[in-house]
Amino acid sequence: MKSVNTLRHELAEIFDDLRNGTIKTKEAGELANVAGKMINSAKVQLEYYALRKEVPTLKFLGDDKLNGDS
Amino acid sequence: MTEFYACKGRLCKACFKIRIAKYYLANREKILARTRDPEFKKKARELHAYKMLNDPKYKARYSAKRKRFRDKNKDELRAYNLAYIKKNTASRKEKKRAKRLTAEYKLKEREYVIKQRENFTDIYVRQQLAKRSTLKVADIPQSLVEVKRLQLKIRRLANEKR
Repeated sequence: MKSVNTLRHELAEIFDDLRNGTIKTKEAGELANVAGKMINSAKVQLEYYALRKEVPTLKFLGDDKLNGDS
Repeated sequence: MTEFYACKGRLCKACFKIRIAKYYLANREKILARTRDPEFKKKARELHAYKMLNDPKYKARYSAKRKRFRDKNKDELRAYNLAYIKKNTASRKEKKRAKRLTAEYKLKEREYVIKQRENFTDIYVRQQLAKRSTLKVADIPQSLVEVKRLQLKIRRLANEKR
């Protein structure tokens, strides 16, 4: 899982599976937990760049501009 | 008697002023009633606005008059303005504080928060990401918000199904 887009697609699939009942709730919870860890690590990197007052260049986030596409 | 009005029957300025003063004293109530009329005030305002836009001489004369007044009453105006600011900012703050304490406001605020949480709005997800962090809400990229939204949805659904 190299980028945030891949993670998003994976999570969307997990969400659908969970709704359909093809995946166990515990398993989905664990996967969401792992996704949370990945998100938090990206967040820490963003914090680092923000504190250094630099423009973040994270491969994980791809070509997303900060708040530009919001 | 050196200055005359060209269009006022060749009266000198001093004589013309006296004539105006006499007329005013004779018809004071009538004039005051006329000037207090809201329709008259409205028309006067409109005429003033029109002249300010279209008559450069009038505009210059009016600006000079205002400047003279400001210069003459500088201290009084300053004191008045300061008192006004002090009085109104305090009352504004009090009003705001009082409004926040009302049950109706609290209920509305609570409803707003619940709505945000149920709909996984951008601002709610951004707040979740910025919680216990030095990051500002505006510093979070939208792609991260989308992923976090999905993660929150899965976690909530899993908790509901348990």
